[in-house]
Order: sequence, then C-alpha cells, then structure tokens
Amino acid sequence: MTPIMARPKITVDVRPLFETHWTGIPVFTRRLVQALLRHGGVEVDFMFHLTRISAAPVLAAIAAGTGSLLRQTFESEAAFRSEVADRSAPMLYPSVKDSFGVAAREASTVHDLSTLLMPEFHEEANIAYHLDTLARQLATDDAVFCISEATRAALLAAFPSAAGKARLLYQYVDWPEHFATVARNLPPLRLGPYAVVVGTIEPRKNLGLLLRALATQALRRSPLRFVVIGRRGWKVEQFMAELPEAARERMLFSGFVSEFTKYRLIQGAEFLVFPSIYEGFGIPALEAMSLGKPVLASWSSSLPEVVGEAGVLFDPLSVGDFADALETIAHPRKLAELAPLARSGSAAFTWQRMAAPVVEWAGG
Amino acid sequence: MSLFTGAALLLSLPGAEVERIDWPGSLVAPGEILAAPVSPELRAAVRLVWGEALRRGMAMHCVARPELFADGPSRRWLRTRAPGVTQHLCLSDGHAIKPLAGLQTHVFFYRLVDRANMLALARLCRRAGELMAQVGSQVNTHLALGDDVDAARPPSVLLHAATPLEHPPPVLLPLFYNCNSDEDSANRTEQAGPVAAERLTDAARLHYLPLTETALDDSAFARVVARTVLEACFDPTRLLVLRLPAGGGERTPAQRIAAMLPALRHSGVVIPRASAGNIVFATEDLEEDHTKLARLPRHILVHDSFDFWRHTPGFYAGAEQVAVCAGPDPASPAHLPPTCLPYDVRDAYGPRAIRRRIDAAA
Repeated sequence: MTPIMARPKITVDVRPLFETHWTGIPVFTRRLVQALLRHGGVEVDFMFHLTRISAAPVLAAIAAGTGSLLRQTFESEAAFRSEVADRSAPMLYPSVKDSFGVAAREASTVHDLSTLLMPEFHEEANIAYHLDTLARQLATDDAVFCISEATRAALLAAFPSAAGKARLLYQYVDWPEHFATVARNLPPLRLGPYAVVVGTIEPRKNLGLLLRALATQALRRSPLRFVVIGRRGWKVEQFMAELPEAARERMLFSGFVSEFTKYRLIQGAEFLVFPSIYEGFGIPALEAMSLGKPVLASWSSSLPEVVGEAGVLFDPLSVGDFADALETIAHPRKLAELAPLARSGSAAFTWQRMAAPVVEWAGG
Repeated sequence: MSLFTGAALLLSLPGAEVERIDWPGSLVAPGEILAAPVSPELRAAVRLVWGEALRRGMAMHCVARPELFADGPSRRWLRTRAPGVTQHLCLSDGHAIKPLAGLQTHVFFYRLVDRANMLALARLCRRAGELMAQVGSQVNTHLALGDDVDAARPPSVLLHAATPLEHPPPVLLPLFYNCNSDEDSANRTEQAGPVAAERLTDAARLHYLPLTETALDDSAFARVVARTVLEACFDPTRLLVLRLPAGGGERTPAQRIAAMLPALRHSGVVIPRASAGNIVFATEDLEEDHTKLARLPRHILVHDSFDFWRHTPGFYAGAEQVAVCAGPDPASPAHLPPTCLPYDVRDAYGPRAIRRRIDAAA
C-alpha cells in the first residue's frame, strides 16, 4: 500500500475579507484563498486576529463577494467556538501582520512601498499602519511575499536584510464565468470609440496627465472619449474647469460601478489608459489584458512587468510623451497587433502561479 | 564612493514639492527646477549642489520622482538619459529617503528647521533604520540616523552658499511681551508697526538669533534665548534681533510670534511685561546687504540644528562671534532621533565660531 502523504497545513489570516466592499487587498486575499483551495497542495485553515474561523463562513463570504456576513457571523458567539489559531502551522498574512513571532513560521505580503516612498500621498495614520511594524514584521517573517518584482526591488532597496526571504506572489484575474454570457446578450454600449481608465481617482493615479494632454494637438485630433471608472474627486473639478468645453465633453466619469459594469466598460473600450505614477502591481492592466485590451501605461514601477508586450509605455510626468504614446496605441493596426499579446500576456498570470510559491513555502 | 564622483550626479526632489508642479518629464535639468515654483529653500539647495557639481566639472540631472525607477524598463530609461551617473543625492524634507537601486544614495535634509519635518525624520529613523544605514553621506548635517546605538552615522559633506537665500528684506517689529497672553503679545507687537532699521543703528552691539521651530523645541536652547531676551531688557545699548521661525504654510507675523512665544514662556525665565524697543522680531533672515544692522559689531547665536548654509561664509566671517548651542536635552523633541553628532563648528560657521554647551539643568 502506498502511504498517504499528509498535506502541509497553512493558516491564512482573512482580516481583509472582513471589509464590506472588496477592492484591492480584500480581492487579492479572496483570490489567494481560492487559488490555494483549488490547488489542493495545502490544507487551508483561516484566522482572524489569531482566532480560528471555520471554512464555511469564509467560503460563504467569498461566494457573496462581501465581508459583512462574515463579520456578523464572527461576532455571533453561538456560531463560533472561540478557538485559537493553530500556531504549529505556518501562518500567512495576505497583508500587514497584526501579530509577530506567534507561529514557528510566518509570512506576510508586501503590496507596495508607497507609504515609505510617497508619504505625501498618504495620511499619517495610514503611513503608521504600514510602516510602524514593518521592520518587526520582516524580522519575524520566514518569507515575505511581494506582489511584483518592482515591489520586491523597492522593498530590498530599503530593507536589504529581507533579501533571503523575499518571494514573488503574482495574482491573476478571475472574472465570474457568467459575465461573458450575460454581456454577449446585451446590446452594445453606445459611447462611440473610447478608452477606459480604471481606479480610484487619487494623486498617484496621475489622471491629471490625461486631462492636461487633452489640450495637445495629438489628442485634439483623436476621436476618442475617455471613460473614467471611479469617483470624480481630487483636483478633477479644477482641471475640468480649465479645459475647453469640447475637451470636457470627452471625459466621462462613471462613479462607483459593479464588477459587471466595469467588465462591460473595459470590454467595450479600445484600450486601457493607466497613467499611474506608482503601482505595487496594477491589477486593472491585467483585467484589461484578460479581455484582449492593450494598455497605455506609464513605465513606472511594476507596470512594465505586468503589461509586458501588450501595450505602449510612456513617461508618467511628460504630457508630450503620453500624447505621442496615445497616438501610437490608438492606431487600428497597432490595436490589432497588441490585442492577442494582451490575452497571451494575461494568460501568464494564473491561479496556479499564485498558489505555487505559497504551497512551496508551506511545505517547508 | 564619495558624493561628487563620476561624470554626472543625479539629484532627486522631495515628493511634497514635486506634487505642486506639472513637470515637463521625469528627468529635468537643474535650471528647470530653479525656474519652477518650488520653495526658496529647495531652490537654494539645488543651486548649492549644482554649483558644487559644476565647480568639479560634473553634469547634474534631476529626477522628480526616483520611486518611478523601481525596476527594468524604467531603470534602462534612466541609464540611457543620464549616462555615467553612479551617485544619487536625495534632497529630503525629512519625510522620505528614496533610494535608487544601482546608485549610491546620499541625502541632503534641506529643511529640518521646521518642526513637522524634524518629527517626520524621527519617525522615519524609527521605521526604516536599514534604509538609513545605506546612506553614503549627508550634506550639511551631522546626524545620527536611526533609532538606537546602532544608528547610522554617514559622513558629512559641507557645502557653503555662494549667495544667500532669496527673500524680501525683513520687517522689524519691536517686542511687546505679556507673559499672560501670547496672542496679546503678538497682536500688540504687530499693531505697534515695523521700525526702520536705521533707527536701530545706534546700538553698541547686535545680537542676532535666527530662531527655528526645531531649535525652540529644545527646551535648553529656548532657555538660552529667554535669558538673552532678559539681558537685552536690562541693557538698552544691546540690539537683539530674533528672526522668527518660518514654520510651514502662510502665516502672518503675529501668528508666527504667537507660535514661538510659548517656548520663552515655558523656559522658566521671567521676562518683564514691557515694550522693549531694542528687541525686535525679524520676519526674514538678516543679510549683510538688506539693512545697515548687519554692519554693527554682532554676535550670532544659533542652535546646532540650524541650517548654516542659509548664509554665506562672509556673513559669519563678519561677526565677532558665532556661538553654536549644542544639547543634549533628552526630553525635548529636537533630541529624539535623529541626534546631532559633535562636529567642529568652525567647518560650518568659520573661524570665529565656538561651540557652547547647553543642558536642561542650566
């Protein structure tokens, strides 16, 4: 009889999944959990503040796409036995650690170093949350997962002692399967030709570059409109007020939209505009690529690594460079050339690839 | 490797200043920064470093945001456009030090005289000690960067200004001191109106104290300032000029006076409630060419955190004495990390400079 090999066990901290609205790190956590469960190479346990959580409410939250129910269930004593997490198993934190040196082996995840490198874009409380314990976190980590090579490089530039433990943990895109079917049965969007911009409108997203570029010859000649998925804030009003009316009419702000609406807006676009000054990974680029959409991205930080050959890159602080790059990518021949590269590029980021380094680490 | 090594130097700028400007690109010539609406302190720092680079026959490139160049294509882009660079000087306001992989990073804290910046650097030292350990050298400071005995002590590189900081002539406001109300003191001082410098030139001697927020956070130094004020109250032949701390943001002279007076009030030194015509606040630096005051025999008193490079060596050379007050006072924020290391004050302030020890018990 062949002996049955026990799978290594891992405890995943699911604090991010307790948030009501899932974007960014909660979505990353959800993908990580799903990738590990699907992989099957590890036995996955869950915890919240070192308290064990059974799988059922976590999986229910993942199915619902929100943490509100999970929070309620956790706070209901009847449903929980208040069991402490298993410290004999490796503990994995998909974000910032809240405990240090509890388990024999711990790993945390670094998403970006923007609080260290660009404090001017953050509130002090947010900087403190990310940085006050970072050195201790790294010191007690057996492995530090970085979500891109650029993030790993930035981490090691500031904390060289983490060199031996910093590993890559790429994420992937997983649109719900029914999106494609439902979208196919809906009439096309009547927006004319447009490019899409995805993301919260905040200074480091650099939307101002696009708004300033609207005044350039290259963009005045272009028939494209620009659909911004995200709320309208941060200096946008000021920029918009300074634009001629014709340029203003070319900007559309969707506000907060559902995942399906985002899917449809990306699917209907010619390409994605991603002018960010700094990204830890840049998931909107991968989302667009997964739908065959090329990406006009800045060459900053992690974006070249994610976009690869599937786009045109530009200097994020140069309006002229951006306008030239936009003219290049908007050409139908270029779009046709890049579309298959976008799909193949996104196909390289899979759930297997996300699960593998964690399973390998958990196996010791 | 020393800071001024190689064919060209790469200078990076602090994010808070960069954010306010629409840059023409990620790599700009120093002249473009000098023409941009940056703070006078940043402009002076750029001019200072650029002047030194030119003197050594080096080119200088400026990057608005070094954090862009994290990996692969962006680094290649930079290497292509700024060839021959091996050294990176990070101009920092204390809130961040941005390393550039592949280059040796040095740092120039050009504005630690503002309380918020010094406290930000103290936090950064606690949070990123490893980052501090990589700093190759520090320009115009003598700081131990870190949180403990293992704090990094990068060697200092001193650069002296060829020209003083750009600013308008100072407005001189005679002190009215009310120990019960800083606001009343400030308002009455401002309401009395400015006094012409010519009316003050009869003084036998000028004592000039360029005050900063960081300096006044050192309670021992604040006590020295208060005693100097008290002595001037009893000696009308002595003219005392207190340069008001600039602080952050737009503030009226009355607001700036009201903000600095608590340091005197909490010093434990009793200052009489009176209007003293020989004690004046100056809204800007006193320069040799601004007023005739600087021609008086003068003593200059500064805290060891003072940014000496605000003035030219000639300014200090014209003084009878330059006293540089050094702590430590472990209880005051100025002496939280980063601490100022002992150094020969004559290197910064010229041959007439002396070190004056102060302590909390004095």
